[in-house]
Amino acid sequence: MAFKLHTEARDWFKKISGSEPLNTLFDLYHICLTLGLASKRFESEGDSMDEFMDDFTIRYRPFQSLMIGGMIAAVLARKGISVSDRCSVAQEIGRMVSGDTTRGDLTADGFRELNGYALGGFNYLRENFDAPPQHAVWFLSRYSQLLSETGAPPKI
Amino acid sequence: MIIELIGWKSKGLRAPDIEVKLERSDSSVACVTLIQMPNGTGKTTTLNCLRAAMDGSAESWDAEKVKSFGNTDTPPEFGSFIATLRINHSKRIVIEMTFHFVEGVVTYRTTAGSKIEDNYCPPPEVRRYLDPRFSELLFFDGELANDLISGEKETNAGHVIDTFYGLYHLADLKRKALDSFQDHVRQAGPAKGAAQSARLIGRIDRFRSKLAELEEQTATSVEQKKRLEEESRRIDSAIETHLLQSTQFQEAEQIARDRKELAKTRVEKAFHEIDKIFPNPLILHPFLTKSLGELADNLDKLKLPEFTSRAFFDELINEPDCVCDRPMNEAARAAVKRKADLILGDSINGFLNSLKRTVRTCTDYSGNTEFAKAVQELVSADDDLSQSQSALDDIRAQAAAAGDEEISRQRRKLEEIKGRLEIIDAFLEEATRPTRTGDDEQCKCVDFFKKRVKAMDVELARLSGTLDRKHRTDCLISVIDDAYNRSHLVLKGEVISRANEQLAQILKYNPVEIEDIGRCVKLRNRGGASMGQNLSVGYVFLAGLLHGGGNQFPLVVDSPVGALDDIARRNLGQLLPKLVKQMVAFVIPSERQWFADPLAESSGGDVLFLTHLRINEHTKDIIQRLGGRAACTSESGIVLEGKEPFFALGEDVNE
Repeated sequence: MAFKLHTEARDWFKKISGSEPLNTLFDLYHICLTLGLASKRFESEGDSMDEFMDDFTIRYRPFQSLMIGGMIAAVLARKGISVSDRCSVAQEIGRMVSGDTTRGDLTADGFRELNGYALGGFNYLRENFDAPPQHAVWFLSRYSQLLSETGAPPKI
Repeated sequence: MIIELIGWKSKGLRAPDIEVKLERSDSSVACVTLIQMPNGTGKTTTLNCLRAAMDGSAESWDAEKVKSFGNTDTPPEFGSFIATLRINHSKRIVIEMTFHFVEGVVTYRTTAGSKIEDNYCPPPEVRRYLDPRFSELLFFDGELANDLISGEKETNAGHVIDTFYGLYHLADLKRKALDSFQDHVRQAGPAKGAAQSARLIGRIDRFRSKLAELEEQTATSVEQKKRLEEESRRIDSAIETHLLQSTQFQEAEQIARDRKELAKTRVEKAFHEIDKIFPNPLILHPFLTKSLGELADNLDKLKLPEFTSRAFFDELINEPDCVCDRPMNEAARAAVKRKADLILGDSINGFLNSLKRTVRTCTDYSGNTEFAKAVQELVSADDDLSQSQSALDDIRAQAAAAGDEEISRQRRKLEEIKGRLEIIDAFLEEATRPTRTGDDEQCKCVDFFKKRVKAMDVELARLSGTLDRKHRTDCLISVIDDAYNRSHLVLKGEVISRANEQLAQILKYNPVEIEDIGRCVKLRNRGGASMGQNLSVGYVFLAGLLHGGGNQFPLVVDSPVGALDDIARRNLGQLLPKLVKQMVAFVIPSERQWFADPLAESSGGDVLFLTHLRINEHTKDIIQRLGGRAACTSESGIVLEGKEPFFALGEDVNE
């Protein structure tokens, strides 16, 4: 149970990572996850993922519940679970959230869902860039544009 | 371990027949011995023989090489070279080399105390220090000290440390382990597919060789890149300084530079502002606010989390009676369990409460454009930076067009460096990337070759039924690698620390500090030191190794100051006696100036001046004029001792 990134992610972000705001692997994960949630793009983990952490970093702990909440909203919408179906909603939340604060509040399924959106976000980036980004300014500009183009997230 | 060179004697070789004694009447040796040998006196022959006498390498010389040491005018049947060493101020070791010119071989005889061996056989306690890999540190030309800093030639400063401390034995051990495994595989015979195994072994060797080559190339490229980038910064700074001194472009350069600095600061600030807001998903993705708000509302409507704790139901199942006092039979327990399963655990409830609290207390970010604006500001600042750089480039181009040769020259250098950097970057990008589908033997990806070698090793082990042996060999190699890495790191740290202590004292008016030792010795915060400083650092590094930890070895240097200017020669002359306990330097007359006097002064007079000349029609009169005491004379050569003949010899004798 851990956060995972695509095996090619480190190499893809090579030229623009290692400095603000993409200092750490978790920053890369966050950028991919946010785009994955925004574009409603979920992909199942395959063999092409590398584990890198099993908990949220200190920088992201204040926003941990928001990121997981965003995932819950996306999963409920993706599975077409009705908001009035208390049983299904509770079951789905119980499947993904453990409340174990030493493990990011997530179950193994929860990590799989979150990683799936991060993977979707990374592939979305690759599809919308001709080549791995060479320049951080240009990347952030294009990323900002992609976020605004993807529109509103799923309604639950 | 203290090893001193006491002297040598040559006979029947290309060099004149002479004996050089470095030991004085009180058994001491001079701190520095300067041997002046004009070209053609046999300097190269003497140096090569000295080295071969110490490390025994002449046993492996081929016939042609052996014969080349003979006197070509009157080729004798035999020649000899005898070197005398003293160990720990007491024990003498005499190593005699006999050249058999007809057969084309060299034989040795070693005398250590009362023990005589008819071969090259130094005592065990000194053998390590006379190994050929070690002796290359003791015998060198002045260029080595510079190469250690510049890293431009083959000399590898990191390997110098390995050689001195004998870490190469670990590499030998590793090689033996691998060879042993390969032999075992060959002897084991294939469990199946002999031809397949043979092909695989050949392929593994090829891939391993390519991997080693690529790793070496990568390390060299990384260091070259650092040097070129430092050089580029230095040239940039030089151009700026030059332009600021020019009345025509001074103002424009200053304005453009100030603008660039402001733009740089603006870009840094913009990145920092983005970094501050970046982790907050509500700012990055403002639509999330609405989505989370709706989630929180719906959780309330669904009464999630429950007000009732799941623990209550879990405990109730185990009670004999329900809260309504009815007995808890199996049916009742099953019903309670069914309901309990629908209730979330306490920790999940805790998370949901936390989520709802966070959402409710978060500022409404819907419609927030903070991230987009921060990115726009970054783009604008970056554009400004690009424009200010272009303005600077324009000024330089104008200066070059206006005939400023210095600017033109520096710009050409910068372009050349840029071109080289592009080539290096392209290579490094290819070499350091992870392997990908489509990679083959023609690629330059280190990761590809590493993984293929590993996979092929396993395949070979499987084919030959030697998987277990392979595993054990891998373990051993891993231990050796770890031992090497740790040792090298610790020893390198000690060498750097010792050298910097000395440098702080010796170069206190123009301080230089060693930052790291890789392929070359890296200086801290120095784009490039002068050649004199480079040589000083190089000698401090070498001397620190050879005279550190209570050890002492003779340094034998050919042309210690060859290409240096007067100031650098003087500085080196003052420096060397502080570093060495025994140095024997071979010089030609033109190398005396600016060097020999400061050297003598700095050593407190502890310098032995020798002048060695070949006796022929041309030199007879010169020798008579020089005077001085003849320390040794023969039909073919003479060695004069003393400062007077040393300085009296004209530079024209070198022609």
